[in-house]
Amino acid sequence: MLILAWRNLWRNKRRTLITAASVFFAVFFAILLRGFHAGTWSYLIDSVLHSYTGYIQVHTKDFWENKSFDYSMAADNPALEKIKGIKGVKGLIPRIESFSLASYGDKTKGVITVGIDPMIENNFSALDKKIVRGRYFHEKDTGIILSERLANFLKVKVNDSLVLLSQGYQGASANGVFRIIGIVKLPAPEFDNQMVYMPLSAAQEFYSMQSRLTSVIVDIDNPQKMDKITKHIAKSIDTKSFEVMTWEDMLVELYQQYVSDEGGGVIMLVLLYIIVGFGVFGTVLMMISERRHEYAIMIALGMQRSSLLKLVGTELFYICFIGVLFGTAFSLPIITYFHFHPLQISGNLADVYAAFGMEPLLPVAWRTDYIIQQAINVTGIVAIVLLYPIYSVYKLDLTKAIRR
Amino acid sequence: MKIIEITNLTKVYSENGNEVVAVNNVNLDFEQGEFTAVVGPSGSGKTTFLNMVGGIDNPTEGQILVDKVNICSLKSSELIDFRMNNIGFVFQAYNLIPVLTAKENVEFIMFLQNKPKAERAKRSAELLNAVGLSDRMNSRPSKLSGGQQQRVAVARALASRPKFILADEPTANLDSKSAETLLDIMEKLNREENITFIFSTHDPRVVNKARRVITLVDGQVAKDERNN
Repeated sequence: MLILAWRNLWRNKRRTLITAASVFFAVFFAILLRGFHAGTWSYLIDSVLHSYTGYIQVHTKDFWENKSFDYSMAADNPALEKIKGIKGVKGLIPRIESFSLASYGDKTKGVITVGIDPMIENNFSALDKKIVRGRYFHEKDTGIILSERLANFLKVKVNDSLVLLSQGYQGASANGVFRIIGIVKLPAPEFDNQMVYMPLSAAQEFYSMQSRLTSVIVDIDNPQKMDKITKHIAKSIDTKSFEVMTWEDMLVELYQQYVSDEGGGVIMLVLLYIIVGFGVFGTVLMMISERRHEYAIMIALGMQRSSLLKLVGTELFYICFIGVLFGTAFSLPIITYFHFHPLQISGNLADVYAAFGMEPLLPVAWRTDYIIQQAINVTGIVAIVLLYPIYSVYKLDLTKAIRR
Repeated sequence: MKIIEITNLTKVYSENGNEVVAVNNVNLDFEQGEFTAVVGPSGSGKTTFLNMVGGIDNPTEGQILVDKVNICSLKSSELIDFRMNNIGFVFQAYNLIPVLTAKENVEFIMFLQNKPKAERAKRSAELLNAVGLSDRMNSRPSKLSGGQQQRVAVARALASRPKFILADEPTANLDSKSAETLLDIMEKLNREENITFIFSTHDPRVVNKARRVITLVDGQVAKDERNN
C-alpha cells in the first residue's frame, strides 16, 4: 500500500511538487515568523521582567492588591525554604517594595521604592549593566539608585541628596535623606519614570521592618516552565497565607499587549494555512476526479472503500510530509543561526531600543513546540481535506464510474 | 454443479424521469466449467446483466445465488469481500493499475486477500507463465501492448482462484491476432482447469468458441443455446 501510494504520487510529478512546495513555503515561513515573533517578545519580556517583577513572585496573601506592609512576611519564613527546593527554581530574590514621595528642590514625585539585596538582585537583573551614570551598590552602601527618567524629572545628579517620605511598618513614619550613587536606564518607561533602588538593609531600616520582606521573586531556569513551576509552588505552600503570581497577573497591560500581538500572528498563520489548505484541496479534487474510474475498478476487484481511503490519505500524507520535512529542514538552520547571532537593528528602530534601555537586537526563539505545531497544523489540514475523499469514495457509484 | 442461480432478475433505471428496464425478469443457471457468451445488440442489457452477476450493480428485483449465497442481500463491504474471493473480472479497457508492474498487478488481489508474499510471488509467476508473459513480469502496463495488457488482466482475474470469471467485451479493443491468442488462453484455462467464463460480447470469434450462447434482447433472454 505504501509503495502504491508513493508511486501514485509521481504519476503527476508537477502537481505533487507544486502541492508539496505550497506546504513547504507555509511551514518555512510559519517557523520563521513564529521564531522571530517569539524571539522579539521573549527578549522584550525578559528585559522588562528582569528589571522589575521577574516571572514569578510570592507575597503574603493580598499584598499585591493592597501594597501595604501589613501584608509583609518574615524573611526567614519556612515557606521560602520549600520554594527553594522546587525543581526549576534557581533562587529567591528578596525585596521590600513600597511607595514614597521623592523630593528634590521644588520637584516632588511619587516613586516606587525597592529595597534589594545588591548581590542577589544583580545576579538576576544585571542592574549594574544598566547604570548610565554613577555606580552600582557596594557592600554596606546606604545610598540609592534612581531610574533615568525619574532623575531627569527631579533634575538630580549623582551625589545629590534626595528626600524620601513614606509610611513605615505598623504606622511608623518613614523619612530620610539619601545620597544618589547611580542612575539606571530601565527598558519599560513605566518603570523608568518612578524607580528608586536602595539596599535591602537600608529599606528595612527606613520602613522600620527589620527582617521582613514584602515580596520574593522566584528565579526560574526556563521561562517556558513558568506555569508548571507556579502550580508546583502553589501546591507546596499554604495559599491561604501566600499568593503566587506570574508576570501575567502582575503586568496585566504588557500581557494583554503580548496576547493581542500573539493573536495577530496566529491570524496571519491561519490565513497562510487556509491558502495552503485550498492548494491541497485543489490537488485532492483533481486526484479524485481523474482517478474515479480507477478507484471504481479497485473496489470492483475487492479493495474495501476504507482501504482505498487509506491509500488516498497516505498519498496526501506523503505530499505534506515532504513539504513539512523540507520546510523544517530549510528553516532550522536559519532560525538556529539567528538564535545565536541575533540581527543587529540600526537606524531609528535602534534608537527606540536604546531609549528603552535595551540592546538593539532582533533575536529568534528556538522552540521545538513551534516546529511541532507546524507539523500538527499540516496534519490538521490533511484531516480536513480528507473529508472530501471520504465523501467521494463512499458515494462512488461503481457502475457509472466503471462505465466512465 | 450449479454455481450461479439467477431468479427473476430485473433492473430498472430512472433516466431523465423515465423508467428504463435494462434487464427484465431473467432466470438463468450457470454450471461449473461453462464457457458462456452473452450476446445481443447494444442496449440489450448485457453489461447491466454482467454487473449484477458480478455484484457491482444491485438488481431492482430478483436474486442471484452464487454458490448458494444470495449476493443481493450482502452489505456493501461484505459484497466487496465476496467479489474479491469468488469473482474474477476482465474489463474491455484492461484497467490495470498503471503504477504497478504486470507481476504486481496480478499480486494485487492476493495482497488484498492477505496472502503471504512467497505465495503471491509463486502464483503470479505461474499465471503470467500461463498467459505467455513470463518475460514481461516486471513491465508496467504502459510498456505492454493491448493484447498483453488484457492477458495480464486475465491472470489478475485468476489470481484469487475465483468461482467464475466475468469478461465484459474482452476482445473489443484488441487486434485479431491478440484476440485469438487471448481466447485460446481462456479456452485452454477453461478446458484444463475447469474455470468458468461468462463473456458479454459482440465478437463472433468469442461466440464461435463459446459452448453456450445466451442472447439478450431488450433485457430479456431471447435464446439460450448450447453448442457442445
